[in-house]
Amino acid sequence: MNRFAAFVVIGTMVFTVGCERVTEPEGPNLTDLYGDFTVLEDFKTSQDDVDFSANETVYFSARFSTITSWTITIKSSTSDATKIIEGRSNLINEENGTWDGSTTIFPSFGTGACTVELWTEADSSKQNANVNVTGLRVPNGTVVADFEAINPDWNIFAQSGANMSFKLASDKTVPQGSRYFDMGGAVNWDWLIGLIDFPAKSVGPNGFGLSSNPNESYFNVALYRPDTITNGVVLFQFKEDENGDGNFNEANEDMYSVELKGLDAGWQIVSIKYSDMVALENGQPTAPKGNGLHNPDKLEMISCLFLANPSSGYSQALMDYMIFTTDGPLKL
Amino acid sequence: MIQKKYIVVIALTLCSTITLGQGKKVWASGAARSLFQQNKLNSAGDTITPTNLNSGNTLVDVALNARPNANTFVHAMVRVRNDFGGFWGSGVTFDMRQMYLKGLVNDAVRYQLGDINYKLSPYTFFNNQEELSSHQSEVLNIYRDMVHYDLFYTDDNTWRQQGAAVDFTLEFSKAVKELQVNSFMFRNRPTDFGQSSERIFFGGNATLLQSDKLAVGLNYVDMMDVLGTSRSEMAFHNPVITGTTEIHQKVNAYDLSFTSESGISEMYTLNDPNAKGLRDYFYDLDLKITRGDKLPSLSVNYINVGPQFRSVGAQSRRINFESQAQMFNRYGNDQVVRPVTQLDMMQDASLYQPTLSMELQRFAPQYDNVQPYGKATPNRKGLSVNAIHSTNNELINVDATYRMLSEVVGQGTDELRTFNVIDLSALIRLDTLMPTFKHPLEVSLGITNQNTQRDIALDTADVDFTSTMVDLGVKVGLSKDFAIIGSYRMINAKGLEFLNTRNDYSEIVDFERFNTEMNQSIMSVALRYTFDEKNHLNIVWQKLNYEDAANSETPAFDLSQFGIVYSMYF
Repeated sequence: MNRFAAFVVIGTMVFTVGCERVTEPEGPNLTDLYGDFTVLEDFKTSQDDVDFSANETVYFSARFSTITSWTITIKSSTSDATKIIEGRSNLINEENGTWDGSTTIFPSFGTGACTVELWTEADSSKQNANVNVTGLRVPNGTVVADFEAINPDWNIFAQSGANMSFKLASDKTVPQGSRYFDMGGAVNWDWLIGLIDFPAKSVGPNGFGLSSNPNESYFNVALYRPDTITNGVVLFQFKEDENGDGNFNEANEDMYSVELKGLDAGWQIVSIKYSDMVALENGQPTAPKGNGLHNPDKLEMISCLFLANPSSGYSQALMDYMIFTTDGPLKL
Repeated sequence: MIQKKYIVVIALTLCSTITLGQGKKVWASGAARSLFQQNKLNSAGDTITPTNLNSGNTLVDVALNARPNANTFVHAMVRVRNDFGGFWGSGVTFDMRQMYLKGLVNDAVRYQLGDINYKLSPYTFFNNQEELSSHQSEVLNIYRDMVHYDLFYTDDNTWRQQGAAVDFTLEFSKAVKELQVNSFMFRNRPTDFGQSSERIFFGGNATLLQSDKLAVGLNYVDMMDVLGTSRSEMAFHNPVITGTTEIHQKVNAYDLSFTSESGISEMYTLNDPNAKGLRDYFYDLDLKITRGDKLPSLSVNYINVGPQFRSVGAQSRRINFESQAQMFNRYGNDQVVRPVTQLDMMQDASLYQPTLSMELQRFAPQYDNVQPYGKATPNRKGLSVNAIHSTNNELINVDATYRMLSEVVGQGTDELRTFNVIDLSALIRLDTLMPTFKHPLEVSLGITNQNTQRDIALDTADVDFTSTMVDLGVKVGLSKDFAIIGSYRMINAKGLEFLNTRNDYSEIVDFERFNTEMNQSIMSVALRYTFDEKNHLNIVWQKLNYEDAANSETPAFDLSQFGIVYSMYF
């Protein structure tokens, strides 16, 4: 027994200790994190003028002796448009400090001068630079609705509740253009406050014009939640016409959904890859009822439903610029 | 809701009828609990937070047990809960609490389907106890036991899972005595039919008993995503394989027991170009020496667990320190998040998680900085010595451990952290000295001291962190059924430590400074009436004091609590 036991013990030890082990320290070097902080290269821009409409970008650069958190804030001199780039490193360069003309706080940037400020956490210092925008970026994709005007092919339905406002409006800052769609009201007998159907024909003769690859298409929409309202639910439904008869049949064709709750206050861009959409039943994932494949090229209709718990009172959300992009999520 | 009530009533009536009619083929079991609490928060200068909070609820767990034949057993349990203040059913909830069936096939193979409690070894599949639970006076267990019951935590370190388990034993006439085989497969996560695939956890154990003196075993577990269950082409994998040995030998008058476990793990994600696979090994050697009951039993243990050793089943933690306490979760005029205290850890079920976690979750160094993921804590090596002794008359029971560990590789530097831990618990049964005193008279003491050190050339990144916990408990029996139980437990933590920030692939990407000078204490007193072994009424008063002089954003506070807790199991 003793020999057998010794064999087992030694065999097991050899088996494990014979394995390789990484002996390098884990994580970033502590000296890079907690050593003395100095600015090794001052903050600067890669170019003074940038034309985003010509697919140009501008990047910012700086170098420090230790890793620190930093924030670059770009502000338009003509509006409240703001772009914020954040990072944590000892080097700011083209990889982590590039501005492509997109916006963090709307409205979108216009042409003109912008001030750029770099804040570093390690010494709480600020450095400044300037950049002049000579051309605006143009999003690449299929615009479903920019809400500058009502398209007669849309089907708009609003319940006859209190303080209903299913209409275009222009009295707030907007991410794009000058108008947005205001969805608001109090309906105390139903979750549905109102809905809009966007059929393929409303976009153009080729419908949504999406490719068959669901990994290429991104659905994007700008949404706004008022500060004081937290009960709204925005539900987008993507209805596919799999048999090509010009209609969506909910009994045997796929419908994918995106349910949005708990939005941040203010405007924000919501983007989702078509292949990431799931079928929902009462808010829970379920198996699609059609072929189970994401077929963006067979998309027949998008429905936007604005919902709220009937016992929760008035609710509101604003919507703007609905677009399918192909090269990644929308950046405005 | 009214229909649901009828279902429960009908089920109960039916089962009692069948019980009477057919002699225990179907019977009811379960538990009932009622809790009422008055809580008061006090923080100097706080004019915003409401200071008083009352809460309470009654709940009943009703289980229907059926044994349709000699080899099959079926169990289904429903929970009915009513929060105080919800009259006429408005605050009532009905939930299916658990359901399983088990049986024996051909008098040889045992199986269970549905909800299952399961474990393997401390490095493969093991539900480690939460922080502070190794030393708890009896009074502190009143609330803790409720949390454990609700979350299916058991003292035998099993995880509650859903799936199937099978086990059987083969007996041999020569060379070896028997081969025990256990296997399981659990569904850890359902697919969402989008980018989240079905995740399963499966594995098993085979143990060969050569004789009463020798046993060897093999454990294998794997947490994996099942490709094809969603549109995602990425698949997480975490296989772990370990071997175990158990040898018992008598040398002169000494009983020697040698146990070991060693193995390797991998963690990787298929078709994810950003995922670097992790691979590492561990070994754990343990020698125990006993000589009758008169001398203490001694154990010596050596472990070496690699920094990249990952085992989801063994490293998942009970308490999630990234969540917030439910009661008075914000306080002070700045309404900051209230730190999680020992009182919250005892009774706030929302801090706990019932499922396995893919990542090495955050832990709180002030409560355990040495092995927060149990024995499977990665990047630890070193020696532990343990002594356990009970006097003949059961007057004194002592359990003492000294652990002397270090890291295997440094974090952010070549220098290693060293860890020293002293752990002592003792129970003194004074009633054994007083034959005329017929009721319990006990004093318990628990002490844990942990120290972590790391000296490097960069002074600002030195680690010097110490925490101490002292728990003094008492139990005085007033009569056959009445007892007073009390406890005073204080926890101090002081010094500077660095917490790891990990990415989605469990790699360290940053270190976060953690500086504290925390003192907290809790005084608890309860009057207990025991109806029978499974039926208690407790009237509990507790007061907690908390301060952290190194963190001015979290002001000092105290929290007092009066509670009435009734619990029974049937």
